[in-house]
Amino acid sequence: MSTKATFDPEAQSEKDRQLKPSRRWSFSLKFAALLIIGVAILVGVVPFMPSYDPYTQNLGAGTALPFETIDGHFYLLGSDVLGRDLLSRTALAGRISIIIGLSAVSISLIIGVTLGLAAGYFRGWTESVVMGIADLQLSIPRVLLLIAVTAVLGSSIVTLTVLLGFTSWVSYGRVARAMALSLREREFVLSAITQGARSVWIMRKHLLPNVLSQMIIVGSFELGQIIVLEASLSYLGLGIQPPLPSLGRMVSDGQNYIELNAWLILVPGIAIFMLVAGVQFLSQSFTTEGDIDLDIAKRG
Amino acid sequence: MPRFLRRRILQSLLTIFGVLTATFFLVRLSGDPASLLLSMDATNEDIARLRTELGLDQNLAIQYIKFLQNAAVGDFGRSLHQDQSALELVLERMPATLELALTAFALGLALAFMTCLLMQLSSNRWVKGLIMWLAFIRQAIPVFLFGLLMILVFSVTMRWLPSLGRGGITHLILPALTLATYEIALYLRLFNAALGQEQRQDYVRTAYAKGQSRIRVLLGHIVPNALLPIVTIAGINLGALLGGAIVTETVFSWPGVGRLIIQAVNQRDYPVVIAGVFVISCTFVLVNLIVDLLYTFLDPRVRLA
Amino acid sequence: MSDSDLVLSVRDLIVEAALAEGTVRLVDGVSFEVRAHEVFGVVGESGSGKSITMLAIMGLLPPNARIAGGQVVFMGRDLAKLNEKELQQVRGNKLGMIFQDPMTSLNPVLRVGKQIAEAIRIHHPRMPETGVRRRVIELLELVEVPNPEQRYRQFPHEFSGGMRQRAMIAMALANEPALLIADEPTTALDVTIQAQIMELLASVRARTGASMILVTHDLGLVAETTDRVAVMYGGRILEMACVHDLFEIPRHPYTVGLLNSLPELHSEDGALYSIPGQPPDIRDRPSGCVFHPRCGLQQGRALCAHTQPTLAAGRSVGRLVACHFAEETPQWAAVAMKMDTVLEKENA
Repeated sequence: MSTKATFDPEAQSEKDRQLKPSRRWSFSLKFAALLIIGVAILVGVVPFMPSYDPYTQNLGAGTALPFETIDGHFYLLGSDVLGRDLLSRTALAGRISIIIGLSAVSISLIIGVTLGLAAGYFRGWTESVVMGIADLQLSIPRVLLLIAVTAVLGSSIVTLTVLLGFTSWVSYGRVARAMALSLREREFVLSAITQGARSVWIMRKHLLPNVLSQMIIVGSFELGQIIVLEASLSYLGLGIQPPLPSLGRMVSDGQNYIELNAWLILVPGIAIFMLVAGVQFLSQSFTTEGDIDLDIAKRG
Repeated sequence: MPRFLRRRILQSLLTIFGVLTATFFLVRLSGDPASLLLSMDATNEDIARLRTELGLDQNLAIQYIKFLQNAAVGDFGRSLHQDQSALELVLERMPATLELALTAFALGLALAFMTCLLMQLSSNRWVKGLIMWLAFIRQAIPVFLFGLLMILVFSVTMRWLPSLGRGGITHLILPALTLATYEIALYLRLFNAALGQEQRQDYVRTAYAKGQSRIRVLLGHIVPNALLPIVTIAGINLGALLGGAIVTETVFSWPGVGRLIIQAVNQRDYPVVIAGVFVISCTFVLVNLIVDLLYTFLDPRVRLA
Repeated sequence: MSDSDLVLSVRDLIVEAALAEGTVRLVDGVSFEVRAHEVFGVVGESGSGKSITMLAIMGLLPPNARIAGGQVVFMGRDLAKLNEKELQQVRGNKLGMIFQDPMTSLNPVLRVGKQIAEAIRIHHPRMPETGVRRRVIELLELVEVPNPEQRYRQFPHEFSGGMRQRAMIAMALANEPALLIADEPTTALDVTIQAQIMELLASVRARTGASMILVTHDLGLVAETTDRVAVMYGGRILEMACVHDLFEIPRHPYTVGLLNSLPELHSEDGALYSIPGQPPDIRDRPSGCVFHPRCGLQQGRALCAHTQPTLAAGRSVGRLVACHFAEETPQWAAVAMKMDTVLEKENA
């Protein structure tokens, strides 16, 4: 039942605007493409270059500036305090961040979708338990949760990935649950039930496909978050441990020499930015409205 | 006491209880806490003695109950590196963290509000686009990185502001701004969306039909309704704020609970870690409770539920 | 009929809106008058421009729309020429409006009493608190809301749909308007409540002497309630007459179609009639007569597609039709639409 004037020019023009891709959308996409190409070159091309060497130290060539040549070695982005090539280290660290990020997102997606669908479909105890765990997890800032857990369980790449995955499922879970709640009343589900289909089958064949498109949106946003979390943990000293390089730790090490050579911070810092911004602009371009769903926020 | 209030308080207590339980089992998960706490060349007797001291030789269930009992009276043990009760140590640092967090929160909202006004007043679409784009860029820079950039510009290069420690306003500016601007993108989108959505509602048309003026409609009708989603989302975001505070404290060597916890983790001072996590959790739960109450105060439709 | 009898006089009103495809005319040269104490009906399908016309009169057009021409003379002043501040003095004061959906037309976070009081306070800023409150209670009693003292402090969600509409009416009547515009006031309500609200409006009008414009797509409502009616289509008025004449002897083919599409309880063949074709896309208005693509009376005649018919006086006084071949309507109706009664009455 329409409540507005019978012909609402405002609503009409709003609709018309949504039909055309907005200018901002294509700009975001272009910018994202630029960043992603930069990152791709960093992690995909650099490691295959002959000068690639993230580990060899050369104490006499410490904290070199970008484009400096010391001992016959040309440091494109400079060197860290132990004389290691920053470009190579950044490339390797970037790779690790991406791998951890993508893996963690996959893990949390699987957990989130499974738990969320189960909670929304079965309701009752299942729902209470799942949402209870979610609430518990949300009652503590994510960074702190990870700090506490990595403090106890360590932070090898695998451990870190699993932990990040296990602690990030809630967003997916919420969306999956909401979808399950609304879909379970629909005819195609009800008819499947009357035909004797088992719950798992229904969830897989009917609910899952509908949920996946939403998951991509959530996932692209979460990927940025996870990369930031990993970098923050590394910065605090609780993430990837040496000798493996990590962007966060490189920044933290660089902080000691901030007066001497700011590039020690800027090189890994810009890499982090490119990674996160690229992912975030990309996820922005998926949602045409791109904005906060205020109706979820209203509890009335 | 109204029913919903009772329910919310019960929920909060349950959550805190859950956090305690999780913390307890988490530490036990890592293996024998005693051997973790001593240096590498501790003898087996040393370890055994410490275990008895810490009550680790008892039944797990008994340990758990003792733990809860102790927690209820605020006894989280003593710091292993400083001669002080773990909880005391943490509470000593709370004011610093609160100072940073609350300043950043207020500053963030104020900045977002002013920027939002600027955007509404400016009819130039290019300006609005630029502001949103800048906010978006800001969001892609992790807190620690932005903090360092601020230090780089304002401390190292310009020499205007100090880069570490807590003192007067000059020490507070950089960390507070770092934290405040992190969420500004979110708040900007939120304010714009909330105000925009309310503008289009039917009751606004009714208000104008009565002959009410623009300003009165904005302040008396639109804002009270727009506050609802704003309060909800800002509330949800406080967790991120606290998390960001922990990181910011490390960047600026700000003597708060966050930095204490990080140091305690590096020193394996588990009682302090647990106490710290507990206090921050409680703060968070309390703040969420307050936000919920605030919401019911603002939205009469929920009040009578 | 002297001019002092006129409460509202709309002349050649044109409303344009800026849409993505360019400027579109939503209301294209609409003219009508509302006299003191009368109920003027405006009837039409969705998209005919009837609501926009009312919003234009009130000065409540959305930001991308504006009055591009014409006059809206209300109590001696041309509202189309007034600035926002001057309009604010008129709105809610001597010119009131109630809207379609009472569920969303009230502010959910403010008490109902306060919202009605606001209507009073805007135009009587110096009235003391107690006076305002007393007046609100009075108004609630006027609109037959039981327990007004209690209801004063309640929130809209504690009111039923019918009661919310009563509160809306109270708000609109707060300052004794000379003209009340009711835009589909009962469409969103249950049928039983509809009758109550219409009765309420009638009694309130009798008490205060206000004129009313009733905008609706419901012909039954029009037949029961109004004195004179205008039929709108595609942003223009096609026919205007007193209600009796309109229903008994419709002169415009569109009106004929509308009347014929009313389901009659005693109809013989049981099939519901609907006018063939679609309502016009106002972004691309048909040339000449806006109705001609769907008109059974056109019969291929080029004049209808070429020249826009003006709203001209017909046979009896006060009847206006916009059709080149209006005299042929009764015969055509009898034959094509099996509306013999029309022809009978015509010849009677």
